[in-house]
Amino acid sequence: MNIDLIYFYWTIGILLGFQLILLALLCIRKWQRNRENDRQKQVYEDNLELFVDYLMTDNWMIPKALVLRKNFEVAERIFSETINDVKDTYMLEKLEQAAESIFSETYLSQLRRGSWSTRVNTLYFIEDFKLTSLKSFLQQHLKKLKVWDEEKNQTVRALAALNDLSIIDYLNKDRSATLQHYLDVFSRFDDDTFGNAIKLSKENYNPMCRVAILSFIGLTKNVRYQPILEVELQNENLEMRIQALKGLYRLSYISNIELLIPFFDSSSWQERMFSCRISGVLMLEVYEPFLEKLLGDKEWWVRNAAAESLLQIFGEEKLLFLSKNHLDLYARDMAVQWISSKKGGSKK
Amino acid sequence: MKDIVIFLFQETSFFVILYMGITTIGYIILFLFSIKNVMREGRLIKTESLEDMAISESTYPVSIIVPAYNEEVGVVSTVRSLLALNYPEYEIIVVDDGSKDETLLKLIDELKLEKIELAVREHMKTQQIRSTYRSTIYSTVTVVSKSNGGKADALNCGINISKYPYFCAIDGDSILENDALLKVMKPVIDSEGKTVAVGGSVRIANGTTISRSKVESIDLPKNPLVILQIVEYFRAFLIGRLGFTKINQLLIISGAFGLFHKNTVIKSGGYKVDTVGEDMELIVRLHRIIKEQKLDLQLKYIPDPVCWTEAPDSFKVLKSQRVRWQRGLAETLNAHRKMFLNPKYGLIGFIGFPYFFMVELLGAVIELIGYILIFGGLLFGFLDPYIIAVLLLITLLYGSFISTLSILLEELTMFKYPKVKHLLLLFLWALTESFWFRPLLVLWRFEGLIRSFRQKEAEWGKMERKGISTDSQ
Repeated sequence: MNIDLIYFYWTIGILLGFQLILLALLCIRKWQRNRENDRQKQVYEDNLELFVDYLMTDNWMIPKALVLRKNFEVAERIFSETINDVKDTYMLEKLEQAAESIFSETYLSQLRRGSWSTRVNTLYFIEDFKLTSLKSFLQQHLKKLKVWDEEKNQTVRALAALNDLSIIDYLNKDRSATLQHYLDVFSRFDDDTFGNAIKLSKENYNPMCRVAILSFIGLTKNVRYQPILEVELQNENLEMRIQALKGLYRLSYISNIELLIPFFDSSSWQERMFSCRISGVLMLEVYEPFLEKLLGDKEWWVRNAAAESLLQIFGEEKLLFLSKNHLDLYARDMAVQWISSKKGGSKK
Repeated sequence: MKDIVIFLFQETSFFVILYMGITTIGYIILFLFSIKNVMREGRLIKTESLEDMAISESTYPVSIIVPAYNEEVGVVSTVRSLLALNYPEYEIIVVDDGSKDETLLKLIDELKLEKIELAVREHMKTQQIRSTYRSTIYSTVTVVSKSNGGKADALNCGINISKYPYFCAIDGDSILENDALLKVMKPVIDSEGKTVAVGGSVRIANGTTISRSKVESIDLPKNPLVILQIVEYFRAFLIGRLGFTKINQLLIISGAFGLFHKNTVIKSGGYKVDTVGEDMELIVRLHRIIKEQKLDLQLKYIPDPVCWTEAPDSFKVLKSQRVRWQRGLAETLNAHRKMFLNPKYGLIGFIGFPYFFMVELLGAVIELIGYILIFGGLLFGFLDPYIIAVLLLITLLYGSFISTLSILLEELTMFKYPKVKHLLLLFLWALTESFWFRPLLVLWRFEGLIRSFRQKEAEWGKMERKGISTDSQ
């Protein structure tokens, strides 16, 4: 190896040069970025009030600056900050109409030609602004997506935000769709579309879709659908029964308390736990013997729920008594914990 | 005889050059993996993707465990920052591991604690719990006072106390950014629970203004020792961990900020108490169990969620930290040496584990030899100037060049440092790294390696806290 040292000096020089060029480029980029941020901040401040005026009055002229291409990101920011707070239907209609006129054309071209991150960001805004005109394009777009990544997730969510019921059928057919996908969709549907989804799930039965419906009823505490939960308590599928019990616990309502009895002796600890919890929130004194027995259950969660319910229904004295007299050591420990937890504060 | 010595020096130099060359190429490959990820996901609007999670009841609740030992300066600020997190449901458990200062008294006083009895499930044996408290003003805050047993023991105690299916371990003097917990939980939800551990980025808070436990403005410290640690963290997190996570080879999640599936950790035996590298040891063990039991589980690193922590600003404390880290690394690799080049452990046995052994552990020895050869060669002239030049070049590549690439990644992903001046300072100090900072680290790492053969007991790090939040000062 007889290479002249000069080559190494050159290499060091080139490396240093490369690093300095990199530094210069990063500095220029940062400087431009900071300048653009300052400009956008100014446009934002100048136009926010004008935009609120536009929304609140009969004026249908969108502030001029927000329509300009160079202020596109400012317009996105103002619209997305506003749209979540507006509840008035007249203002919402105005907002959605304005969003259609400012954003839909650009979003269409971004979905067609943009990079992955641009497409995903665009889909976030389509969902926020509910751009109905892009619905059919999104349906086509979804068909092209094979992998469940953020883009596919977001396309499904955007279609759900546009109340597109066909998305349920799409999820039912996609074997890799998960419970979370259904929940994402249901949480974006309006009431009527969710009602139609329930009907659809009866016609085209899909176990995961059904579990998601039960779970969603519980999460939203929608009493209108409570009878569905009671029916599913008889289902042979354990997951279905657990979701139904969880839903009833969240709704804090059951039409016939005897429906609970089989679950106190269930082989599933989740069913035993929810039967305890439901007894507690509904103050079912009649189930005292079950709760006392389950205070000594082999599962911590069941013991915990039983203790909480006993405290709710019968008060501290009952737990004090059980903390001394229950035959099971774990039951006595749990009773002590719940007595002392009453000393905790109430704020987060 | 003289010829033989010169021959030996030259051969050693070739070995060092080869080693550092291969490692540099390895770093550049990791950088390419990282930049691919950054270009794809770094530009997503994160707040949009987290909106659902922040209000969803199906976002798993989390127990945040804060092990604390002599953390009277920062622990209350840490708890306050945690109380302000944007997350639907969580509890905070501070485990005071028999502190000798006023950690417990400060907590009792500031958080208005009251003694309670807890029925503890003893998943892992720990040192005796002296007393348990709950805040009368924040019902989600529990404080445990226990006999001293080390950080791993305190974490195990926190796991025993915790009630939620996931736990997040954070250091007693760290501040989490508002959305950090949501961001680390996202891969867990996206993978439907198949991701059992997630690490976030840890950033150095020195120089940054944190007021009322919230990051107000980000600035650089004046001390070059800390500036170079900032660059080093970029390098470790944005090149190392991000690159490794792309090929599912993540072997470390920082003890300062990590999210874990509780049952998986319990089944694996919890944190190991007789090592100072309990964070890395747990991750390596999880990988080992995943491979041995053929489980469909994964571990991830997400660059965006940020935890701010205080870095040592004196040579003495930095040295003690690095000696400790290297000891932990050596103990972990030794405990799991069975994985080294073992086909049973798949790529971990052939990429991740050998990388940590050859680069992170033995690298200190080889780099040290490299520096001795350069300085010895220059001073005593026992090496051909040509070889010294090559050694210098490769040292520059290995140190400063890779570090400047990591600043590029930071600029493309996080934009945490807002001013052009910050960029210039970071860059220029990074260029000096190979000449003073790196040789020092190499010396300390070498010392840590030596100590790993002698010292066996676990201990808490000796950090002189000044507090990173203005309300703690």
